[in-house]
Amino acid sequence: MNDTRPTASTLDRMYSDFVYLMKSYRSFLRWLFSRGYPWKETGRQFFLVFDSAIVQVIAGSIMFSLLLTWVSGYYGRYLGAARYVSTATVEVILRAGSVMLASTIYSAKVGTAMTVEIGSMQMTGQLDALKLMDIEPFKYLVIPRVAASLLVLPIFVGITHGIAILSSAFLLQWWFDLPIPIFLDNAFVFLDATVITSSMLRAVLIGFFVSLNACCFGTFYCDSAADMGETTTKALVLNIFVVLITDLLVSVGLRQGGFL
Amino acid sequence: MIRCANVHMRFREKRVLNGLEINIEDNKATVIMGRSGIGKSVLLKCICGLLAPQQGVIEIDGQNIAAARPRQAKMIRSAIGMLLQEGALFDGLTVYENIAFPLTYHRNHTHAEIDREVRRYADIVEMTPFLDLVPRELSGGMKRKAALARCMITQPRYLFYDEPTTGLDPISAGTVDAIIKKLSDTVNITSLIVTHDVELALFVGDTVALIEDGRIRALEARAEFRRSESELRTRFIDQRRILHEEYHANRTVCHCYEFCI
Repeated sequence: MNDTRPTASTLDRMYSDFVYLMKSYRSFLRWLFSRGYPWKETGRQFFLVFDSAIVQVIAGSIMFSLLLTWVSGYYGRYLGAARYVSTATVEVILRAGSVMLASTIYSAKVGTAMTVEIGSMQMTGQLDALKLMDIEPFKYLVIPRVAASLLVLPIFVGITHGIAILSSAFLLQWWFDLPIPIFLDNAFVFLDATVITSSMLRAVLIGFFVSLNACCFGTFYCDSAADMGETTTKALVLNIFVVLITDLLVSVGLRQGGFL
Repeated sequence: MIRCANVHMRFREKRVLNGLEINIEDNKATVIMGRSGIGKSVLLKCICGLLAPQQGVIEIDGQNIAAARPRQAKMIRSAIGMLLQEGALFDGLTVYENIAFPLTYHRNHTHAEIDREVRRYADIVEMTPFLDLVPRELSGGMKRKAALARCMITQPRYLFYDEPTTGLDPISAGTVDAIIKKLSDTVNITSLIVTHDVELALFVGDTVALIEDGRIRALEARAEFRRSESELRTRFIDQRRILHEEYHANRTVCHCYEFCI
């Protein structure tokens, strides 16, 4: 039987990755508060990031609502609770589903693109070129991308909310003959403002960590395509864990703190 | 003046620079030659502070960049321009934007000044007709010329070239050679070129150095270097020709090749 325990070298590598990431976080904070914020680059990144993932977010929202509506509609009928179907669907979308979905798509599409872009800049000497021009790569490349993510991910979560709820309303009418006015009457029974606030807060935090991790991994020393592939995979896996953990911690924290 | 003394640099087990010593005189073109992977680019990166040597002194105008704090290193580095391998142009920007980048980022110049400077340096490197193209539309030689204009626009006192002609066809390489020579001769600038291109070295270099085993093994004026019959020079410059002659004489260079025939 194969021994699948992690070897010392795997642990060593994980440790050195962790140390590198912490150093990168420190550099980020150091350059964040230095003089001359790159506003123009932040604006450019905002549009680039938004444009690069909006289609995937819309498609993902529709697919998600298809699955959710089918499951909730089917079991609602099966269990004799058809009147709660719309409430359950909307609650799942607003309280957990949208943030998880948009964040996962964001990590996979935008986070990976950030890692690969900065990594390939590093491989082709563009980061060295920046340093030689007296431009700190963290300031010019990382900070604008993180700032853009802080804005874009909450917008994506908002779009996911809207599209998933609308799709569910139409699908429930089409598949389970639940009229849209009745859907709307029941959908928002348990909803209050804190649900939306909480989802936006989670989106901001996840956007921050996902983009910062992705950019920091991009600045890892890579001298081959294989290295870069490995680094990109590392960044993606870490970011998926970050999405799950941040979502959990913030939800539990808000609930325990009496905000939800 | 640049002075390197007892510079040591290693990557894990691999010793790249081993007590290297060299003085680079002002307003002259110095060429450092050596085999691929011998540490030429590492030396350049150490001199401009992108890499920190484990030991040794690297003085630029009397200031040791190897031991400088980040802010001081930045100040020293502001006197240096470096043409990196393959140019390292920014993919998302046009040639114009690439050349203008150091000026636009630091916001010390008006648009009119930037435009004038970009066109001036684009003209020097013969890139004026290509200012609207993006890097993926350029050939290797054009990329290096654009990158050279980007280095020059900040008017550095020292200009370093990292393998400026590697991977170029003879015509493009010749154009790049001519531009480097023109800059060295007409602008008051200290050039340091690392290359394994012998023709470039003998065309551009006022002084030619050979690096081996992490040290400078020969440092001579161009004319002396051309005449020199030292074993190292012969080994580096003529090795290829000797191998070709050997092959033609007895076909023993590559047994696999013989076997294939």
